[in-house]
Amino acid sequence: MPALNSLLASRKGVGTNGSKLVAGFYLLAQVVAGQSPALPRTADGKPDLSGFWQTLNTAAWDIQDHRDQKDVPAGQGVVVGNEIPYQPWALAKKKENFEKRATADPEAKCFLPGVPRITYMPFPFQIVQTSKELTVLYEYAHAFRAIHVDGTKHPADHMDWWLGDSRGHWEGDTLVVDLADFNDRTWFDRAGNFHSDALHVVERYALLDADHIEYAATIEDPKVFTRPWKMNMVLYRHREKNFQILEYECYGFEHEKYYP
Amino acid sequence: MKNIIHDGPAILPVAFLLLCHPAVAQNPTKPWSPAVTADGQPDLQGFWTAEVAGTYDLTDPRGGEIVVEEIAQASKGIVRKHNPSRIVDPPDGKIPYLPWAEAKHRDLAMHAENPTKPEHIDTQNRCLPDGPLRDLLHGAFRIVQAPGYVVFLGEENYGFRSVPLDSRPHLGKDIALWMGDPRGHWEGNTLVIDVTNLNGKPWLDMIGNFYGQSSHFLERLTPVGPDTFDYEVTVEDPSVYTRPWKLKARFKRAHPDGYEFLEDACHEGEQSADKMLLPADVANKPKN
Repeated sequence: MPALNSLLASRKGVGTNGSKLVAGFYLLAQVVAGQSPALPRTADGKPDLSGFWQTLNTAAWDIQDHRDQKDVPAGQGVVVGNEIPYQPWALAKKKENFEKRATADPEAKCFLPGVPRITYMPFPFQIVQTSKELTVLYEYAHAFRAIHVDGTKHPADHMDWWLGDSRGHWEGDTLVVDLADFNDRTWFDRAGNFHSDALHVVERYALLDADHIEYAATIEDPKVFTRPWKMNMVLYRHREKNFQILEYECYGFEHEKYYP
Repeated sequence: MKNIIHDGPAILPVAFLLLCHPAVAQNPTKPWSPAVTADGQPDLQGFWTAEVAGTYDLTDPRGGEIVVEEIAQASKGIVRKHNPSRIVDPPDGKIPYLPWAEAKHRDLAMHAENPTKPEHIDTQNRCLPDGPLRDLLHGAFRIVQAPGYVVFLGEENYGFRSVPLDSRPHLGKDIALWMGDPRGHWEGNTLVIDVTNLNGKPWLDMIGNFYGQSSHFLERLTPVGPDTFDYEVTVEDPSVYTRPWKLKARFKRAHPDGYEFLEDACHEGEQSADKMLLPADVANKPKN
């Protein structure tokens, strides 16, 4: 099978020859099943999302279409249809947030930014993938989260967490992650878009090829929005040689002054 | 910016490295061979905590008691039980500071209970990263292994270390990191981690033992049983210490399989550090 062999040869960081053989078996199975064979895969045949990723959009500033402002690049929004279906009171609150954004934005206090916001902040993140879990390590503030893919459920009672609780499963080659258990203290961007503690997020990670993930986040919050809405964007793999996560220890405390 | 010395383990004297070797230093009874991961690494995955956990004082670990209470008791002449120093070399169990560094440490230790300046407050109380070594001794942590990486995830005070296992060079000298720049490799069943590019800011314990921006850590994690591994780290920095020193600790499994960390946001809402400052110094307290 020369085609399969060349595909195997093109895969990187897969480890032992044995795991390559196993992966090759899965590749063959996927060809038979009509799935795309070009995706990198783990030893257990799942799409291999491990590596270093980052977005290349301006959603960190504003997830909707926006013009340039001082220190804000213009950007095409990531919200499908561009409209966020706020309830009337919530739209007023969003406008108030926007006016007060310099101080009211939780990010300005260096608080954990929530999900999906942490995905499109201008910092890279690393995905470490095992068969039971994808661990996401964020350069921003040494945050991390576990995406459990072992069939476990959300905690029985509501947890008030900054990054929520992530439970994933594979739908074909797409990783689908259900997030609940958020607090009501994070925003979606620096423009004041917000949610309540009833936030429910469904993320979808689908490899387009070895170096691009099509990423979508469906947002549901009956306390704030009139209907679910969705963000779409692409995650780009860092291909730089020896790329690694560094640190952004957010300056919520003047540590440079007191710990020089 | 101060220069950061970029030395691999080669700068340590050979004899000293031999002393650190697990064949010399570890379990003399029978060698333990752990299971291996899918990509062939000795399997260290799971939740771990130091047998004597906590970072109250590296030279006098307290096994979970609160150091400030003990200081108060000591001032009343109450003798407490000491655990041996974690420092195994030099033999006196003390960190071999240069005179200026000893003076700085004494000042920090003296103010540990009653800080009068923001810089007297333990970096951990500010929710700043623990740095390597303290991140393991502090509380429970989790090891995850995937092809090419060993990852350490902290249960308390959000933080992680992602250790690449390839032979890539260390980062350039102008990059200084709270958690340092780790490079790992396996020597038999021992995970060896070479750490450079430290920013020297995190304290090593609650009483202000410290290292510097030029410090170099060489860590060794050796499984000695299904639920135990031995840890030793050699710290060297001629700008802070008179000689390299070595710390040892034994780690046990901390949580059963299936346990999950709860989120431990620390900086969010943190107020304890400012409350530690004396009222007279409130005017000087930093804005958070």
